[in-house]
This record gives sequence, C-alpha cells and structure tokens, in this order.
Amino acid sequence: MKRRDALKTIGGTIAGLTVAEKFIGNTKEAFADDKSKYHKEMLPAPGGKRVVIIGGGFSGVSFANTLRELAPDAEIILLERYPFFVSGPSHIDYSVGIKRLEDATRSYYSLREKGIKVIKTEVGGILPEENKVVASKGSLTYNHLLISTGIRMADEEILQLSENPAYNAHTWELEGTIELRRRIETFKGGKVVVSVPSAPFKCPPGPYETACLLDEFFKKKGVTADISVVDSNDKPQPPPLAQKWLTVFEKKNIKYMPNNKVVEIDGANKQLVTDKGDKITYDLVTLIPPNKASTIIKESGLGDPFVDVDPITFKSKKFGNIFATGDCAKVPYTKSAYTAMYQGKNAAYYAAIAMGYSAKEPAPIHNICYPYTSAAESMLIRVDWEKDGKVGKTAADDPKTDYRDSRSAWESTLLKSLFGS
Amino acid sequence: MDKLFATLVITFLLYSPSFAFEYEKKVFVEREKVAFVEIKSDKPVDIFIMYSPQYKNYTKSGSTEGAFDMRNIRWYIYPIPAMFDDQTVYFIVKEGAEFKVTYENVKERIDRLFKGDMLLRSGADSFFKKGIDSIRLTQNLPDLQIEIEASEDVQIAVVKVMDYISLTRGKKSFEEIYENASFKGVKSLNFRSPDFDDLYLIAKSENGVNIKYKTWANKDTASSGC
Repeated sequence: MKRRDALKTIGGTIAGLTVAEKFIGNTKEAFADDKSKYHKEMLPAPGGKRVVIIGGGFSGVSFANTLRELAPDAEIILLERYPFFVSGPSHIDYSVGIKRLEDATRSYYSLREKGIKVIKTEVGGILPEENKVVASKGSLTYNHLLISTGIRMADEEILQLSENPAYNAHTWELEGTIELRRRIETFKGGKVVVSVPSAPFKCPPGPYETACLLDEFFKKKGVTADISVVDSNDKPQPPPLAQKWLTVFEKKNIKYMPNNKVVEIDGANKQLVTDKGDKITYDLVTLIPPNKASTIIKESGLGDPFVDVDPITFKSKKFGNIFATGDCAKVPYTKSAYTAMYQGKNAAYYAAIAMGYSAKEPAPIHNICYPYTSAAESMLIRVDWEKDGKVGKTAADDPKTDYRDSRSAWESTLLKSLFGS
Repeated sequence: MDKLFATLVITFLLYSPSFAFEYEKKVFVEREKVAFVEIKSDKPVDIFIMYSPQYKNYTKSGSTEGAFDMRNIRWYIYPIPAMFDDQTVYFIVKEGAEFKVTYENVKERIDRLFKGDMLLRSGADSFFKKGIDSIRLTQNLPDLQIEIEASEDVQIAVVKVMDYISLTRGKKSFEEIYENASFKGVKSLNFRSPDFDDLYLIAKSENGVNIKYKTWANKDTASSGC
C-alpha cells in the first residue's frame, strides 16, 4: 500500500470511530495533506530508545511496567483512548451488584510517576515501514512498538445491531456493562437470553458466569426468569470446563442451547435469529457479538485479523521492532486478563533484549481463572503452556467457596501488580 | 474388475471388526486423547451429534433440538479432542450407518504437526440437493487446509456468515455471492482457512451433486488445535 493511500485509509478508520475525543474539520483532507495538524508529530523525534504502546489494558500496562524496570532509560509512551482503567473481570460483578465499579477502577498516574508517558488518544493506523503510529492527536514515531489493542466487538456481524445498538447490552464493554446493570435492576420477569459467540472470544467462561449470576440475582429478588444460554459453539467454553458448566446448568435449570449461531437481533419483536432461520424470543437479552481484532491490524499489513507473531517472543513475523500481545495477537493462549498480563510481561523481556538491554528469558505463559457459578462459589481452571507454546498441564475443579475467595484475591493481585493498589 | 473390487471393499467393511452398523453411538474420549469418529453409509443419512443434555432430552422426547446436525451424508469424519477433560459425545443416525472410532494421543499428534506432518482432521461426503444447497464448515482454525471435490462440474463458493445470510434471505443471488467469494471454483477447491470463523460451502447444481470436503491440520495450525 502506498503511503498516501495508507494515510487515507487511516483517515477513514479514525473518522469511523466513536470516541469521546472528536476531530475538528475534514479528516480525509487532513490526511491527504502531510502538513496538516493531524499528521504533525505529537512529540519531538525519538532519541533511539522510544517504545510506543497502543492500548493500556492488562497487557499494555504490564509491558510498560516491566520494560520500565528492564530499560530504565528508555522513553516509554502509552497511547490509550480511555482516561482511566476499569478492570474487565469486574464488569460481570458490577452488572449484578456484587462489586462497585469504582473499586475496579484505576488511574494511569502510577505509570506517569514512573516516567511512562500516558497520552489519551485514539490510534487510527500504523505505518510499519515508516515506524509511525497515526492517532487522533497526531502521529508518533517509534523505535519499537507494542500493539495491545485488545478485542473489537464485531457488531456488524449481527444484523440490525450496528444500526440499533440499544437493542443489546453486554459486559464485554464498559458502556454496555452500565446499561445491562440498569436493565437487570428494572427487569420484571420473563425470558432471559445470554448469547455466546463462536470461540475464541475474550474471557471464555464469562457468558456462562453471567447466566449463573443472573439466575441467582433474579431468584433472590423474587423475579421469575426463564434463563437460556444460546451458544454458537457445540459445548460451553473453555473446553476444560464444558462438562462442569453443563452440570451447573442442569442444577440451576438453565436451558443450554448449543449450535445456535445468532446472526440477527430483532429488537422490535424481541427475537434473536440464528443462521438456520430459527427464532428465539426474549424479554431481556445480553448478546456478546463475535470477537475480532482492530481493523488497523489488517490495514497495516501485520496480520489478518490478528497480528502474526511468534508466540514465544511476541515479535511480529514481518517487522523485528514490532510486538503484539493479548487478544489482538495470534497466539495460542486463552484470551483472558491473566494471560494478557503475562504476555505483556514476557514481551517486555524480549523487547528489552531487542533494544540491547540484558534480560533473562521469562517463564512460559500460564492462566488461572476462577469462574463464578454463584456469588458465593467459583470453579477453578489452570492451564500451563510449555516454552514452545504447546499446552502442558491443565487443571479444572468443581465450584467451591474457597475459589470464590481466591477470585477476589486474584483480581486484587493483578491490579496491585499493575497499578500498585 | 471394478465390481469385484467394490464387492471386496464392501465385504471388508461389513466384516471388519473396526466398523459396526449402529443407530446410536456413544463415544467416550479419555483426557489427552482425540477421537476421530468415522461414519459411512451407502445412502445419504442425517447425522445428529449431541452432548449429554441434548441426548437426555432426545431419549425423553425424541427431539434433536440443540444437536449439531449434518444432512444427506454418505461419509463423515468428526474429531472429538479431549485435550483437558474426558468427553462423551453421542451420535444418532436414525437410518443407521457404519461407525468406526480411532483414538490418538493429543500431544503426540501435536508433535507430529509441529514436525511438519499434514493430518486429516475432519471431512464429509454430502449430497447437495438440486438448486442451491449448503453445508456449514465449523470448528475451523487459522491455516487449516481445506480440500473440496464435487462429483461433477458445479460452481462452489465458500463464504462467511454474512454472505451466507444474504443468500438465504434473498438479498443476493448465488451469482453475486459466487462473483465476490474469496474462495470459489468449479468442481474442486483447495485453500487455507483464514481464521476461526465458520464457513459455508454453497453449491448450485441442476440435478444435485455429491461434494466431498476434507480438512487437514498442519504445522501452522498446531498452536491453535490439532
């Protein structure tokens, strides 16, 4: 792709984004003119050790903190579109009133205190041949780049959803989480449908946890709710917990409907429609759209749809100075907050080595997760990957009160390691 | 000579201890194993694949709701990976069919893939009714090799869900879908799955056609699945 074409594409991409931070003027013209303010460098040219991170989620923050320790004199810049961090695993808790959102919220000031520059901006494109990122505040040249943009909700793959976002509310995004809480609080009873996309998707146990917590919430409140899980997959996710989820659903009388790929939400008639044309009615719905990667990845030629990386070093297979971690990278690890954090940490080691710093080879990735089956009990799942990315050991256990406590400690520890509190 | 060969093959299939004619098959897969369930039939049959909750419902009511169904199948191979936990899967063929189950160790299979072997993962030989007919290719992996072969010259398009829906809802014609399909061909097709997304194999024929597909795991899929 020619540079000018790339810039036009990027201009279009940014123009299509729904962000709080709005552009002034005509974006297309802005990108067609290299002298435009939108294409001006945000910061002076780098001194040779500038590392830019796109995305301040678990992975990006973990990378920034670890690299700060390994490369004390590196210039680390984190680009993030939101002004603060809200822990994703807590979204489900908040939706049913288990946790307050402010308890899961952190500011980026702890990073700034370590000398990491955090810039609130929306990234619209990457020009790998020019070592440049183009964002709503201007462009930024890097020596090394980490892409940790997370997942993108592909609303466009559910008919009527892009045009009518109010038809749906789900906990995979913050805004939807707040809206779902409101809908749950005001629900008077009837059919509740939790719709699950095809794997892989972020936080694989999440939809099934939602179904269990909704069941408990409505029972406690005395609201009659007939709960169904409508699943695109042939069994509940992640696979190690499939049988355990089925047992839990049977006990709770939650209807499980596998092999139902939802392709349309007809909010006017309160129906979901599957690829076979079957219609499923609802009174309250939480539909998780297909999980895809940011379109800037494909447009920049770094992979389609996920960034093509070595699963051990997280280094791009095309550009030696680009790394990618977490949900946007093509890696064999579970799409969870926990692995994202460790991927960020490990990638920082390999980035430091690539920058000429001395760093030991990090330990292989592992995942620990405690999915809720009720507000009082959680299950356990642990997966250890071997050094080469192959699955090594796995463990899964039935719901226990102890694991519920472990879950609280698990998330607190993650947040503390990232933000210091 | 062909008749003699066919007779020998049929005789072998009927008397081979590894194949058995059954209407229902319960397949238990021990943790760290992957089972490949192969189903054969002389005439096209419908196959319903289900886990315990759907099977319980089926035995109670006869309903196959929630089952994964494959229609008009003469040959089918379905993988059941039990990488992390034991799995039990039920197969129902109301007309009856020949079943054979083979087991492999997941880790050994992944090692073979990493070393460069191409291994058969799934496949089907299905009768596509005259006009436009389709089949869902599911459980895909990025870079999974997909081979498609029809019994005669017909246009075959492989598309993602939104194009499939446009066709089934009459918003686009088969010709439009075919024109813009990323993967298309006449009689045969060989390509790599771009990602995990389900794909829909669509064909248009005047009198109906048999279409066989096979998917092959390889070195590039080894880190995603076996």
